[in-house]
Amino acid sequence: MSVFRRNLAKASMEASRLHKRMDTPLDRPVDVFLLAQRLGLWLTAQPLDTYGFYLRQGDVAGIVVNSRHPESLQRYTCAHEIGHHVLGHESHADDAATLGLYSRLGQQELQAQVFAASLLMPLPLARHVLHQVRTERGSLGPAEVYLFSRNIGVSYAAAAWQLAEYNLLPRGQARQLVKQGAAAAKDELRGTTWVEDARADVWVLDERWNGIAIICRVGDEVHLRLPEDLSTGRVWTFDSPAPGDDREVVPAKQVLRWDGAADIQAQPTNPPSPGGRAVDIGLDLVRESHIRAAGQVSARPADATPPEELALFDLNELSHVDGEGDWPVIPAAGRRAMVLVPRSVGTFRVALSLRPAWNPSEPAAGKFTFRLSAKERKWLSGAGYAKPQKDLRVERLAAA
Amino acid sequence: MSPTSPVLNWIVDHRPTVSPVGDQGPRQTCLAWAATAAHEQHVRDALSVEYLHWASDPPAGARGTLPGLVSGLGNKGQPPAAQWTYDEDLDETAATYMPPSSITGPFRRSLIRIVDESPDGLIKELSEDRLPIAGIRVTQALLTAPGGMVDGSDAGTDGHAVAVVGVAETVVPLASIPTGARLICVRNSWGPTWGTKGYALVTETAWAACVVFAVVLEPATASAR
Repeated sequence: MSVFRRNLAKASMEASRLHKRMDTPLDRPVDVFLLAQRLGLWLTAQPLDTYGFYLRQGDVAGIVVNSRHPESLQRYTCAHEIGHHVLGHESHADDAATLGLYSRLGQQELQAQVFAASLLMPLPLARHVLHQVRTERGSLGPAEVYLFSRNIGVSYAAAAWQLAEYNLLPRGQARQLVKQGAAAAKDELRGTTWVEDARADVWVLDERWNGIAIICRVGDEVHLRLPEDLSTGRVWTFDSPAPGDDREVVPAKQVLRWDGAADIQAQPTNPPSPGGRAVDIGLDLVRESHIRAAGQVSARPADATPPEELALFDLNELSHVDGEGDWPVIPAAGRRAMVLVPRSVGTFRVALSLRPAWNPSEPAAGKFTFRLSAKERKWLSGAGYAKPQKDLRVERLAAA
Repeated sequence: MSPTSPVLNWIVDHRPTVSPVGDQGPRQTCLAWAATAAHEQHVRDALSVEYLHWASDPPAGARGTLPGLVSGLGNKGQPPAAQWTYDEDLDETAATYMPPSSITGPFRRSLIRIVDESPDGLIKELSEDRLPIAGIRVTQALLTAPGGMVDGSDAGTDGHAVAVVGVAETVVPLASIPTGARLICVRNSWGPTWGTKGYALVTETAWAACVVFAVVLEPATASAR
């Protein structure tokens, strides 16, 4: 093995040793900011033109990360700077040139990169997370790599390259995925474009996830996709909590009531509640629709010419039914699609029921519940020392 | 308007002669329910919704489709309702989903004919004592049917089947519905709490927007097992 390769292997090994020494739990994202603090490093955030830097002066060492960068990038920068510290490097400033392209990096930078990837995505944790995100597709595609990056707490590109490093993803495919970007992967996963914030993480829950507990960030998109066959008249409605609803509802001014015989009366409807919005509970329903099943009878405008689809009901064809072909199925399960966005930190136990649309007080034909814990984004947003270190500094100054 | 003044003139109304409104529950049996209502109109006897739904497969996976209905009504037929009563909680995916061995028939068979789904076409069939089975897309107005009325121009989504049991026309204007407008009376299979006792009046606009097809049944010979 060349010296160069040996040094890279050493960097990866040092990351593993650090986890052992710190007894890092490897069933959840590595808390890299906590690691920095446990190593006695000063950790601060500043608006920078670079990713961040590592400072060593005598016995004192510290890390500065860019306060304007997203959480995943701050985490990676922090891990990279920890690498410089653990590997005994001198002070470094890191920008796109040093963190972005392997080929242009000096050996120490490359070592720090390998260290960072190994620190944030150690193999046992990578395997654990992969087990969580494997889909029916079996192989790893854009959505699975995105879910891996989300659950392990790194950028999409970093996840793709590390999966390739572990030979869990062909290198050519990793290159292709990185080129397409995380946005394309998230679009594939949710089947549409972003709702409010392109950087928000995406959680997609269907009936297989009944009873699950998820931990997400404030501002993330939680997409619910529950089977709903409108031919039964049953639709999914919230039991608890009733999320805030920003969607504008224009109530009818009056409703016609048929008495079942020959009379119809026009009756005024109840006025809408003030504000027209449920109590703010910190969780908003920002989008809701029914997605029809594939192969269903398609919509046509009322003034359209008779549809070609009628040919599918032609009796000459029907008289030769042999079980082959695709027929528009009259009842078939579509899906109720809802997007929830947590607005504040908290834990929400969300319960939905499948009930008759015209009478939600009737017994439920199905239930779906999950627990949603929304946390603040764990990033260093303001200039200055990380919060626990501020307290520590005050204590030391007082003692002096 | 006086509360006692009728505002509807019924062109044709078969509700007095059809069986009570049923409830399909959460099962995908709307086509069997609508077809059974139409079939009962011919045989003047209560028929088994459960058997017709079961008999609509084969072809494999055809339950809920017209080919499945053609097959079920044309080949196996439909016995009296009491011989296999409907159970909204039944698991039809179970291997045990089979008719009881006690079924003896007679098995009523019918052929299916596509008809004009416009109000004129429906009136023609209803006037000749045939209840059209309509394939429609489901709109929000249909889902809730407030006051037993379905209006709007929403094309809807997914698919559903109902039996058409009558057509009325307005004799005075009602909100956005002009005098002389026809209202299609549909019998749903969502139980008597939906609409007005399980029925609803659909405006011409709403009907044109959501209807996909209409068929009627032509009785064939009954047979015993």
